[in-house]
Amino acid sequence: MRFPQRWPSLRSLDWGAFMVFAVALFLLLFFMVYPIVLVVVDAFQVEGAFSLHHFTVFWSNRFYRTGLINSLVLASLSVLGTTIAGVPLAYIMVRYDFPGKKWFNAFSIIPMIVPPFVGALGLRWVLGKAGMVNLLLQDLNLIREPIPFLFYRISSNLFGTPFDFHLGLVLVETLHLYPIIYLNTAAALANIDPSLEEQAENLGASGFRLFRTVTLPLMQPGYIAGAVLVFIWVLTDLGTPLIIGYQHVIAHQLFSVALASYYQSPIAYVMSVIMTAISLSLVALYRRYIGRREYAKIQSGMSVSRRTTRIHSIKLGVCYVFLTLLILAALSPHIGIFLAAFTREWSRTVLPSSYTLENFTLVFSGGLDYVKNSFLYCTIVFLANVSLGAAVGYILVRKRIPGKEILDYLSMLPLAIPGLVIGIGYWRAWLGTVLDPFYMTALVLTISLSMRRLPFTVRAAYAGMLQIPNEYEEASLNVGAPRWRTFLSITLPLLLASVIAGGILSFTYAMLEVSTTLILVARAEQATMTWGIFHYSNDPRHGWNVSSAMGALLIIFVALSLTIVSKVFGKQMGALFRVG
Amino acid sequence: MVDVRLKDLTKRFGDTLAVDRVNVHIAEGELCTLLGPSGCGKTTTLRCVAGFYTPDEGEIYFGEKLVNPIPSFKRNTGMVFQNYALWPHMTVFDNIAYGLKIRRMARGELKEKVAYVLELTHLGGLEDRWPSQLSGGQQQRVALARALVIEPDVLLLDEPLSNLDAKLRVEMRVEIKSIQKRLKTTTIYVTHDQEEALSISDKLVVMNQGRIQQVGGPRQVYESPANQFVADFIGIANFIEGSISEIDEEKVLAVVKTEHGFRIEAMLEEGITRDMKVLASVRPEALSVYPRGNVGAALGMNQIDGVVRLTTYLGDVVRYEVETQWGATIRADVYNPRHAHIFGEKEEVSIAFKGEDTKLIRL
Repeated sequence: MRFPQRWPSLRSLDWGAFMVFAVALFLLLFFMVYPIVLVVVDAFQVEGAFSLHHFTVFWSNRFYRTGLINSLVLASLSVLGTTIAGVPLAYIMVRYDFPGKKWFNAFSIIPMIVPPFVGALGLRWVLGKAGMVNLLLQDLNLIREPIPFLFYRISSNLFGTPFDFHLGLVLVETLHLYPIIYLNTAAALANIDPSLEEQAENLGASGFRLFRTVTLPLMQPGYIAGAVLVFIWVLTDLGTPLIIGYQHVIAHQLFSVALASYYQSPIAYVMSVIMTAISLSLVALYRRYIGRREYAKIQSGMSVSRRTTRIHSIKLGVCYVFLTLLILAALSPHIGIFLAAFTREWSRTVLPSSYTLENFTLVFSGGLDYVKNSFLYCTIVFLANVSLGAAVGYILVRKRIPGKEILDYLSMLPLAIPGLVIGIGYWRAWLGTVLDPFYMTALVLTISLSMRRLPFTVRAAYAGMLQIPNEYEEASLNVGAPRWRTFLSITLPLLLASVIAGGILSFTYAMLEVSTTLILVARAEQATMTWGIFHYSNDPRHGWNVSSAMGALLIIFVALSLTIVSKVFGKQMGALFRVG
Repeated sequence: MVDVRLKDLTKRFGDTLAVDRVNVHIAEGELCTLLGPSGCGKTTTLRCVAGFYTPDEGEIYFGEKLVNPIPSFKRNTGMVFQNYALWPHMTVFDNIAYGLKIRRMARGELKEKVAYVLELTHLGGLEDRWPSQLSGGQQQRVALARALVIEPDVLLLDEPLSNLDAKLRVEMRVEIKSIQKRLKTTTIYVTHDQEEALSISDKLVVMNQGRIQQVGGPRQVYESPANQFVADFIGIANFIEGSISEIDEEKVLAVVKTEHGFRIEAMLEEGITRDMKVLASVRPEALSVYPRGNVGAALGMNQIDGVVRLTTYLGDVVRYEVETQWGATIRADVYNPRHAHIFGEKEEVSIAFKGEDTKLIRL
């Protein structure tokens, strides 16, 4: 709630809140903004003077041009792919009622619980050239040559710059990311006041016309939020191209350039600026668009009737086929990972020929440090985010402090800043200082993960604060409790469930973090599970089976924590996967 | 217990004047209602007293003490919020005991005090319930108990009954009144319901657009509204515009001549002079409705002729809307209509009313 009041005078300013505000602002400025500013400044200067030289170098290199175009094409096609999968899914789940709906719903968001490149790893077992599907089709004599599901690409060119439509990667990204579109669209759809559609029906609209004229415009903001997130995610995704072995995207190129130059190359800075600029402007555009479309919210007193119809016969059949295919495809990475994790030998057969627990034994002997580190860092991320998130959420909703809009923007900024760029920024800012990522990997990685995952907790705290009527606090002040006591005994207990749920989400997605981790971790002994998975997949002694075993462990942890969060948030989960 | 004085209290939100130089004195133990339509500044005034808003100008005194610089949590006011604001994570007992715990009261005394207010508000046996397990009326009582248990200097009630159904509302307001009389706590009660205000108050403060329109006891405000707003807001009034043509000091009557040439006798009041522009105001229940005829002269009353446009039968009362010859609408309420003829629409009628029931409002 915003009070239309002027800023308070210095005397009536709540100094306690102001101190917390200042600390939060400092942390965000120092650990988010400052490193990125350094990267941007370096990208635009040569020997201390402003220059576009590095950009010219970038653009005159055909290899980099191709990478940029590929990434944009890949991101656009992935939005298309996730839309085709996610929007019908949302409509079916919100509007139709059918036997087994609960199970389909539960399975349909399972791709969210796998880090992207573990998903890609799993998909290679299933859809790879020597994967289950190809071998099965060959055994059945349906095909002679394997189908390159994951590697299929159509080459084309634009003004002399060659680029690819990498349909394999699009498939992998789609199968991983469609739940984002699904959750956002479903939330928007479920929030449409039924009376709005009933009114349209009452005036004679029905079927597709009703959908096009009323339903679609009302669910559009939710859908677009999801689409923006998918686009940014794919554009900045490092893990998937790495596992599929496709170097011609900007994220992969940035990673290679950074590694080759000991994390300090002007070209890497230029690439960082380009990626950041694209995602920031998309988020800004989205915010402007949403600003003009607040109408989705101006409803008073929703009518109780839900517009779910029970479907039968053909319609039901079509839905079942769609859902079954989608969920089979969505589960295939998990099937692949879990089979491979228990496999001793799996070569040129549809299913593994012998099973073992040895891969897990290896994870728990050689890879135990990764597991320990992951839990240590992410627990700190959890604690840091819960305290910072609660403070920021409280201040944003309740306090009138000059400049709090800045805090609002900054705390959501990590959503729009690619992880690779944060990694590059940290190297740029702190190489050779006390925060040198090479020596202080654990500390620096934990800080960067805390920053990157902060929006989850802030958003959860913000939503939680909105649920607490101002009067709860006023009633406490009124009977004599000072502000700090009111916060501790009234606000905090009521806020805690949502903040902790947000914190668990931060924890979870810190566990799954790939790009910042890969770029910041220079030494194995301070590395995390995602780093370990990547490391094992490149290690010929263990190969992909150990990698898969660690992936399987990660999936189990993440599934557990997300179950807890969804218990707290219920259907509001979708709201946490949004930008702006 | 203290008396409360508001001196030139002013509160702005941006460019809007929410409260405009409000001056009120509320005596010790008095129940004072702030009454007015939504947006009139009554809740803002209350929140200034509670300390949730800082006034832009003016002073608030509890007794001799200026409370402006005192933060809300040190003012010792007990407030009952419109939505009750019961903390959902505390039981009834903990909700009520909270203020006492803040005051570091010993366990034994605390239990005694809570038990006392529980009994006072008829909540005995509910102390272990959660707020969500209570009915609206019970929640309201808990909110009241929570405000009373700290023995506040001033009790503040912000539309406390507006979330209850009609029957419960009447019951609760009787109860609030009796508890208040028993404890003799100085009380400020905000409401937009004029019936509630009339029934409960020792003193009414009628507000509109941030300003006080009238301060007075229930009878005074209803029977002698200070201006058109008060007459219209408290109950219903018929207004007839005109100017004073005669003054009869002896009978304490003045004659109003309307622009259409009608003569209406009204109570003479201090300061009324000839040729003054006035509104003659008369309540619907003061009107009698007769078949068209020369009834006014026969009864020695004012008479207005008209045609019935709408008849609403409500059981205990028949409500007529009568269109006068000059096109205005007059409302007349005829009580106990059991034996009376009920006029239908389009029937021609004469309305009669006494001069002493007609009140003059200066324009």
